[in-house]
Amino acid sequence: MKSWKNRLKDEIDKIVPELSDEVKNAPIPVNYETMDNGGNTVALIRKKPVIITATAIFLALLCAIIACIYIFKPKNGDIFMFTVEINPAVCIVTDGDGKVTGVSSVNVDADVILSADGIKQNIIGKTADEAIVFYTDLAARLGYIDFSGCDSAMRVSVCGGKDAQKLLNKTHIALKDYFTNKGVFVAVLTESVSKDELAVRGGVPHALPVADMADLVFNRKTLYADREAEGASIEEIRAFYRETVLKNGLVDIVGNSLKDNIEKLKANAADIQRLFGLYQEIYSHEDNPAMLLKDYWEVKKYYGDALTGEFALLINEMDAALIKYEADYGVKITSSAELLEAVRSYASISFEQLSAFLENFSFELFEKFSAELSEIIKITGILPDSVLWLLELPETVGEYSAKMLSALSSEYAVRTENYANIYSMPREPLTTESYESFISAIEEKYGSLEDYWDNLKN
Amino acid sequence: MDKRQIDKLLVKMSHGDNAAFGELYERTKKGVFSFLYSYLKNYENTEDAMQFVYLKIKLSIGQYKYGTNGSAWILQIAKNQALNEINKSNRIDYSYNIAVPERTTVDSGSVIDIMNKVLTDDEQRIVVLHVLWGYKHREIAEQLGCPTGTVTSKYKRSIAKLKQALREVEE
Repeated sequence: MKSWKNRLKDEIDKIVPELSDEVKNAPIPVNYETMDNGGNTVALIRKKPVIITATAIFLALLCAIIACIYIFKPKNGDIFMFTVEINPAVCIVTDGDGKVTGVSSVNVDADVILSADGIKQNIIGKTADEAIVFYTDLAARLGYIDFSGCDSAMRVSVCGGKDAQKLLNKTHIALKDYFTNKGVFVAVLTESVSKDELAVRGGVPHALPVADMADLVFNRKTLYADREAEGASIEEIRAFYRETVLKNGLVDIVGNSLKDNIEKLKANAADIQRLFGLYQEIYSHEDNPAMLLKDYWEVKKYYGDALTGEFALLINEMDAALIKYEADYGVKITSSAELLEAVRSYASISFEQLSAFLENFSFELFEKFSAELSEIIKITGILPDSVLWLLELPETVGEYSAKMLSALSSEYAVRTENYANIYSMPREPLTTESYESFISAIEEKYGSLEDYWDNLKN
Repeated sequence: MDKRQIDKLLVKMSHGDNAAFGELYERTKKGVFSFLYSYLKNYENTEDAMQFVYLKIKLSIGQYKYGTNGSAWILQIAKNQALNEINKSNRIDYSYNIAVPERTTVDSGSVIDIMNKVLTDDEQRIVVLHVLWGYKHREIAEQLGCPTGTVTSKYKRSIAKLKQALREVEE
């Protein structure tokens, strides 16, 4: 009689599902700042961050709940709905005890934050002030708040129970304390708004009673990118992906990678030509024993040990050239199809043309030559497969979801790295006077913080 | 479950080795599934959550610090995913629409079914972590944030309940 432990293991064995194709095939994002490439370290480009910005449709309001001087506890039954807008915009809902019950993105930049593992769980259940400090600090770590200058602002909006204005005042003070302690000048605009206005700011399709809006925010998908895909056709999803991931993100990586590896591309173009020359020579050689499949790979497969004389030397030369190619680029060419694809790519966009294009690289250029550029990138190994995978538009909703998650994850990792120094630079805390002077100067120049905000965002 | 082996596989994954990911899945799938189930109580949701957890493992590999506890890292991802779903009030509708292969169910009277019926959530987790993950009671206590003595007594109690319930089913 089997022990219960073995029975348990057997039962689970039978019901554990297999991984889906989307998960199996999703490439592993290798750190693409440096990549071993056949022994050579290639510095891949990521000098400037990829900014994934939301479409202009939903300008989100987001409020941050800030730690307060007073202990403010909303009455049971009150619901508060906040939007916090930095550039990543999120909507936060609290229950009557002031604890966060739901949070969702209002734009794709917020998806970068909320899609990261554990972030949403860390926000939900916290008191409002804890949650908002946590969120604002995350945005700062990812470079969404400019810690290096004096031209940043954030806006917090609230709608809800009758104590909303009191909560907002405390929120304002708590945010001010956060920034002054960090030693950074960031203006904080706080507004108590109507439910109609909050609906616009929170990306709610139409104004509802606050409790219903809060339910809607609580129940909807957390990420803006997922909500965009709901009910959309695959063409609409591909268009959204193209706009947010390719145009506003990856195309910069591609362009910069190509520019940074221009000499490598030049060498590669020459090497591909040489390989092709050998390929053609082998194909048309009078001593080629094959009747139909005369290319190098087929000849080696069927006649490898039987070759002699000059033809055998030619095959050896091709052997050596391919081994060297793999050593130089980390890419193994294993078939005539792969070699011819590379040849075609360089035929469509010669190295000279590519150099000229890179001077004025743009998304339109990238789209026009995306197949050739992808092939060149693949054959030179200057970007990892995970990035190449993201360059292809998704064919299914599942693939879109997996690619979007991968892109968001990469963005999070790169931003964290890129902004680490700026965020953690030691700064003297600001005095109350210096911060108030900063605000006064803004109000003098722009008329009000609202006008300053509008100026920054438009 | 060999924790050192898991760490080695995570290291290989960080270099882009997808085969290592496949092996990691084979080694950890039972433990992750059972752990998720102890939270979600629902096979459909657990199976969906599995896909998402492993996708997260793949995409977050850069965040794992090598030489630290790989299995604990995986469990944390699973726990976060489970809590994320529990916090929703409506029927869980996974954001990512990742196609889940053909589903199956568990028979009534099976060990899994009985565990779900007679053990508390904590007791289920302790049994899963000990039996399927090979964690010692001290390690489980660290994982769950409770004293080791509590884990030991809960584990003993769970085994007693389970054995009693299994006997009753067989009679």
